[in-house]
Amino acid sequence: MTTEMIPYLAIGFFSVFVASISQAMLKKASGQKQKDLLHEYLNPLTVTAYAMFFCSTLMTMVSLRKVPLAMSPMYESSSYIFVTIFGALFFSEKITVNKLIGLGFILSGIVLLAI
Amino acid sequence: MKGIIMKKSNCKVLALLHLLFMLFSLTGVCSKLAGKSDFLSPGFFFWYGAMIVIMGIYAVGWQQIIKHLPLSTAFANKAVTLIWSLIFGAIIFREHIKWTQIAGCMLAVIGVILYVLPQRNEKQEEKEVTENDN
Repeated sequence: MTTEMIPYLAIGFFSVFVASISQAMLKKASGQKQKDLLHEYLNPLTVTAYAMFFCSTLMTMVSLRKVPLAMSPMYESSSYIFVTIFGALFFSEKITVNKLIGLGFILSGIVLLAI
Repeated sequence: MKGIIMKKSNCKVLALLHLLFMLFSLTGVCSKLAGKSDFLSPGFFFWYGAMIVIMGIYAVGWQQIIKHLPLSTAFANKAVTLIWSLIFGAIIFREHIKWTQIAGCMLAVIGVILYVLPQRNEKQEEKEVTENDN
């Protein structure tokens, strides 16, 4: 890893962070009462969440200009961590020992798949 | 009683979620087929279009699923897409599967099961809800 790569790695992780926030926004929107099915998708929260998700894909693309594709599973792994934290922070979803061990297994699996 | 009914409906939602993840994994197949086609050729548009359609269906389904499941639980299940990508890669593109990849998938599946399983105190709470409803 070169020092030139560090800002691009940061962009990559930030993009995953943004995508994870967008997931939390989608969850929040799904809990809101809407007048019909169309408004379940075309409400400000859902539309903003998808716009943020789109921006995150662009940031990932920028990041992968300097970061090798083989390192991309690191990004994927971090999304599971971010979503677990946001679930606990915003929706009171308990972080149990089971979940932490499960998360460990998922992340190890992703690393094994990447090597 | 309500507890048991909730559990049954959760199973249905989980089954739908996994069906959705299998469908989502096909976007990788479409993306690779689009990449193999000449840029802006009919084949490119077909596979790229198919990818967009599948992503649209996935987004619509995902929004309905997270209404019924905790976000972290639904998201952790996404790890199964690793297996589908491996299977589709082997079947459609004759990609060679390494032992480390199989081991990686097995670890991810164990991880998802552990993540989704209720912990002892959660089981206790569920039992209490069931007893109270009876």
